[in-house]
Amino acid sequence: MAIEIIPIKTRILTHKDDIVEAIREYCQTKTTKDDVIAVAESVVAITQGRAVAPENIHPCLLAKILCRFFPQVGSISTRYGMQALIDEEGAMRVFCAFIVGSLAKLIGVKGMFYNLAGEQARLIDDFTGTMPPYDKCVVYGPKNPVELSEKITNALGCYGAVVADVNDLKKAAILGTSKNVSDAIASKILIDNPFGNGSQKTPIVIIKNYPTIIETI
Amino acid sequence: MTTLPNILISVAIFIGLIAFLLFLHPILQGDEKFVIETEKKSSLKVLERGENFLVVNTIIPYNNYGKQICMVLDTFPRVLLPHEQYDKAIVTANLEQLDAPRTDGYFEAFMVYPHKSGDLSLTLRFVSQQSSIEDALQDIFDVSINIYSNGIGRNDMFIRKANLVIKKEELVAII
Repeated sequence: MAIEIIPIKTRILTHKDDIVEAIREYCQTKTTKDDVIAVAESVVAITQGRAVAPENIHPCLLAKILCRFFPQVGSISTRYGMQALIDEEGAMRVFCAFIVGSLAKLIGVKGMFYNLAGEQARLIDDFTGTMPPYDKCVVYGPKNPVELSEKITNALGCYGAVVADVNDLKKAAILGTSKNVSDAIASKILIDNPFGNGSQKTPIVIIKNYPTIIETI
Repeated sequence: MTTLPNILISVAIFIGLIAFLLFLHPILQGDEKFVIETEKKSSLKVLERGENFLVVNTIIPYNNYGKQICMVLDTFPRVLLPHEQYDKAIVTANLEQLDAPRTDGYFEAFMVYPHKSGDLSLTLRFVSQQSSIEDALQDIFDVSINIYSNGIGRNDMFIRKANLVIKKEELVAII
């Protein structure tokens, strides 16, 4: 059975929007009790006011030193991105993760830093990583994605909701789901990035007939 | 012989070595070196003209001569032609990426990889205040334009300024 996913085009959602109200506005009439709402994590973060301009981030010495040890394709390779991580996860945690991660790398174990430094290490988007007008900001990962998924589910009366970090490189990280949605299945369904890129302005998708899909996957 | 002073000296040497390596690492790693090369601008091209206005364009290359990626957050031009100096036409400027033109005046942030280059497109609009645009431009001075860029590499966010001068002779020649 083909999985039906409907991308929902929205206006640019900002820190002045309530994400639950925005989803209700755009999805209420298109959603049934068997559908799951999936929303892109960066938009959730932006509506939570978690996009910060560089002039409002003040890198400490630790951020200035540590950022130099990360490849520039990553979001914590600038002192602003690294400071954002330190602000969220704490300097001691980030420092210890760096020491352990470096030692682990010496013996061939990769990715240890990201496992130890807290979930924001993977979620922070650096400059140019988000669509305008937030392309000039560091965007933190969203807060309380599980709680938010439950709120969306209750507000729309749908089967469930998901907050996901999906990209075009076939990576779909599920940050939070309502209680009746499986992380693994949601990840499989969203793997082809139905959110599209930023300029397509479809940060919300509706996964139709989720109970029927899980029987076939 | 293992004595307390020896241990302390060893620890101090070790800490000193780490500090030296931490100091050396960013120097060896380098940073971005984003440069707007105003001296390499192309010749002016007329985009549009009317009885009292003229729109011209020039392409200005940029380059990242550094070893690290530069994230360019913004660039914008400032025309230095106050009415105290010249009041026969109003000159406004718009700067955008040549490969990513926009109609809203917004400048979308972009990355420039080390040793990569690209082009900016500068559009100048001259609107005469009283006479025809031809007459107004006969009395114009060289047009000095500051181009500001705001970006981030490995170090602190920068704001840089490059200056571009459009010669009066070049303007007069194209009308």
